[in-house]
Amino acid sequence: MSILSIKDITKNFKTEDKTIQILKGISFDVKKGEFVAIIGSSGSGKSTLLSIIAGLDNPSSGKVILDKEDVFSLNENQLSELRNKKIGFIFQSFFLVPSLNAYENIELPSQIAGREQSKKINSLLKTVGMEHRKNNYPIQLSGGEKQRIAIARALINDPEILFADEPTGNLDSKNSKQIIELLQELHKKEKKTIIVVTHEPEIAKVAQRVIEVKDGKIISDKKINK
Amino acid sequence: MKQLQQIFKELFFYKGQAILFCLCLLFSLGIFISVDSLGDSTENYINQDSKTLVGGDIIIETNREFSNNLTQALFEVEQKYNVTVSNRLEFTSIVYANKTNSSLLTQIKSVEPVHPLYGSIELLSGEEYQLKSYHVIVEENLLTQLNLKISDNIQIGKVEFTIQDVLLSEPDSPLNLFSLGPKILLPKENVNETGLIGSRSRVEYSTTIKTISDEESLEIYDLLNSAAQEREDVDMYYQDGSTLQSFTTNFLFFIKLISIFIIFITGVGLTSTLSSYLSSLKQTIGIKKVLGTKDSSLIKFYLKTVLVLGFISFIFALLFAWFFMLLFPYVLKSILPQGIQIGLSLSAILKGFFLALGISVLFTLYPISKLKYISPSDIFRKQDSKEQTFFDMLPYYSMIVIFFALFIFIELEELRTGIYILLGIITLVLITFLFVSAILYLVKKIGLHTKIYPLKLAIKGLFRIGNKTLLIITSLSISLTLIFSLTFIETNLQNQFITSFPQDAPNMFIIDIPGNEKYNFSQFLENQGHNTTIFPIIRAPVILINGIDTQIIQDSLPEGERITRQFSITYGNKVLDSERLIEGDSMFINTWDKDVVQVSAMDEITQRMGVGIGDRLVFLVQGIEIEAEIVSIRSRVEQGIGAFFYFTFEEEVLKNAPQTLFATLRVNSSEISSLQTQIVKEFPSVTTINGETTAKTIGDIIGQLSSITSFFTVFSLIGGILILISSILATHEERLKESIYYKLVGGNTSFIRRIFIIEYILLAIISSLFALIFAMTISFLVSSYLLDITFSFLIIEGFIYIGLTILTILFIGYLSILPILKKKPLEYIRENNVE
Repeated sequence: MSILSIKDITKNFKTEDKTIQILKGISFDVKKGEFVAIIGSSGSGKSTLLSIIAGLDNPSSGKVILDKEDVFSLNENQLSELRNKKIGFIFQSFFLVPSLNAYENIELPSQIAGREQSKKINSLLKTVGMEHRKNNYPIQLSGGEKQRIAIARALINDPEILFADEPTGNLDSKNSKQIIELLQELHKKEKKTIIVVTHEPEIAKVAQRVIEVKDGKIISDKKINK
Repeated sequence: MKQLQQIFKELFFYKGQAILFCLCLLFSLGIFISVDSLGDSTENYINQDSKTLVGGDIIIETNREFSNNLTQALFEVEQKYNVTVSNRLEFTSIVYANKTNSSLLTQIKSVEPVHPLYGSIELLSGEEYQLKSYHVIVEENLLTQLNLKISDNIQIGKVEFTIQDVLLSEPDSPLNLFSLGPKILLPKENVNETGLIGSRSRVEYSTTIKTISDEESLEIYDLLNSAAQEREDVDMYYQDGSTLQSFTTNFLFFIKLISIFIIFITGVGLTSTLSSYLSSLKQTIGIKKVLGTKDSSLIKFYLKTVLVLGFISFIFALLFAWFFMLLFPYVLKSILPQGIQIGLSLSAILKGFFLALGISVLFTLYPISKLKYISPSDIFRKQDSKEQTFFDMLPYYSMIVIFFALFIFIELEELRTGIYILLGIITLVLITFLFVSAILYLVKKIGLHTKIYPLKLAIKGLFRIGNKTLLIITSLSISLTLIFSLTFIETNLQNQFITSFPQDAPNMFIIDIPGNEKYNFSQFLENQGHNTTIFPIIRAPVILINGIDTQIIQDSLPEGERITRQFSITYGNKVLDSERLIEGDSMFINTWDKDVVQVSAMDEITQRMGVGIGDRLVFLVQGIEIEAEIVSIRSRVEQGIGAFFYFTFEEEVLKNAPQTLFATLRVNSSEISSLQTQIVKEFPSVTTINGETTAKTIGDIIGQLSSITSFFTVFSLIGGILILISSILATHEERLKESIYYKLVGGNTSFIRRIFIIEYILLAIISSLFALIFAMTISFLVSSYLLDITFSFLIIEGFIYIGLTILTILFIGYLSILPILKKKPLEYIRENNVE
């Protein structure tokens, strides 16, 4: 059963004298519980594709259906609600609120949703191995630790789908390995649908399916047998 | 040159911060330059025209007729030297207009034809001043109030005078702020005929002398000074402390202090603005570092940048100051002498120039010096910088304090006052700083436990890196405290004297009733249907306290506590309704058998003189020494307008002394004017004072001074707001970051808006609530202990001020977050994700 359906997405950018087509009609479906890696070289359009799928950017044409909802028919407030309840984000630069400690950063999406989830926060802190650092502020955490907190934050509202944009891009190899293992574990144990944009072969290795994008087009879409 | 181009290029690229930097500086500098220039103009006016202001080279002043010695010496001077002498008498009196059947309290100045010895009198007709016999020259408001015109007649005492012209300005009294009635110039040759001299309680006698050289002036001064008796002041023109000198210069100095305070608080704005500027330039700075630019070169480059900004601000500050100089004649009308030429002074411009450069460097040294600790990789990775601690900034704070200390000392040219003022400012800032720190600490604690999530995030936001919350609240609190205090004191003064003029308090005061008219006067008032209390008044100084000369004691007392002055003393054996006995069993002791007489004293004067029951005072009553022992002490129950006497004797001691009578009366407001007219017609030498209009005049004076002070204090508020704006600018990046992160995890615009609005409301509430409490305390202390008036806590007004402050801060804050709210998350992610 598809949780995500991308239909003929195009994205054009207008410069002063010409129009550049970044995405040239991309379509694919993602099943619930699938771990998909979107790979491609720099400038291939993979990050733009993820932004559109996640509802952060509008396509020039095409549709994105996420859990039966047409993402681009939603207004700003409905999009916010969608991001809060159905989507979890993990970014290369972590994007943790500096004035909140680790615990409070994880708590943020659930509070926005109007829920008190202290048990779940503590359980997530345990899952990402950060119980001992829950009172620390982002400035006091290493890159790897920040990304674990970001992952816990992405999971707090139990989203349908997890989007990760270069999640190991700012990390050393040791921390990268740990984050990859964590994502793998989430997929296996929690049966989360994960879409990762990366150029890290290590992540691509652990994914169930690898979609390669080049010059705005899908040039390959392979299922990996494990 | 190339570097200068680069500086301007960067400044142009980040023009928002550059403009704010200049705004912070030009406001404070502009005010300082203009106020300093005004001070210079006033000083020049006083120095250049001091002979005109005094009215001669030498001035003799006393409040009784000249002693024989002095009269003799003056006669000799006139014989021996080539001098011009001008005698004058000044007193207050009621004048009456037959034509309109109205009367008015006026200030009469009786002058000789040679008056003025220096300068010239300006008349409405434009004609040359020459006062004719049985004519008077009056100020315009006399005509308005009595509904008269030039050539009409007015009755002064027993004589009718014709109004010759309208007085526009007089060189020896350029300031008329404290005048309780319009001035009248009256020929001295006619003054005795009015019958007012001799019966007056207060007549000021003065003689001014014009000499042909300074050497001769000194000789004459020595001669007259040696002949002068007690309470006869002989001064050279440069010694005389005129009202103008003591009031205007002091008031301008007070305003200058406010301007220094504004410079200080806007300096904080400079720090925030430059931090924001450097933060915007982080990428550029990182690239410069990567390309091999040394830290020292970077620091020099940005120091040059702030010097350029300082210079630009200085130029605009000059324009601002020039604009202010155009405004001053209107804003400061009541405290500036007539005819003063005001303009920007070179010394103020130079001071402003060095101040601009000094402050620019001093307040930005810390953010600039921090550049050497920033590594390019941190910049490119957008790592959060370490929060600065108080101790990191201590050397820079110390430099700023030393700079301002030196600056105040230079401005004051007097060490002791400088230290007092500096300590006062430091205390005010420290107290505010400590209280605000304590409140913020509590707010932080509450923030950890609150269940209201947007409130929690707002409180967290108050403590975000670079937010300068403590400094914003401290500076806003101080400026609001000043404004609130002034308003509360003014309102209380107004309430005390005008709005709530006590229903049963006397509102008409009658002075200078001749002692022999007591019966006739009482009878007259009784016939009019009024009951009155009449008090005898004898004017006498205390010359010895327990055998010690009061002058010696006076020298050891603080300024303003004058015990050598003439006191209005009375006799009687009854404690007034407005008083109570606080020491002694009764006012006087019946079985008194000592060789000295008894006196009852008021607690205010016993405290000032440091005396109590059993102490002995010697009074000089019309040349006769009366030794008295204090047998009881009284205290006033009611403050405000009413009769009270520092010393009361038994009747038999003073009943034969030359005296005038004083009466107080409660009359319907609408009847005061007609009763005043009837009294002056029947008893021309008697002066009636309308308590209600006098109180209103005092209220107007207070209002004018308060408005001027508020005018300048508003700029300290603008300073506080500029800090707020600069802080918002400095934290724009942080706020934007927070806003985007909230959006990414599902926060919608209204959620984010709510957080920022709560943050600004908190900022405004803490600042204004603290200012309100502090201002109430200050105004309560000033009202109760300094002004001696009843203080009422103006709760409703206070909450209105808090509301206005919240609205202002909210408006500025909301404008600043609009672009943040509009920013799409993707734009930020693209800018901040490292590829």
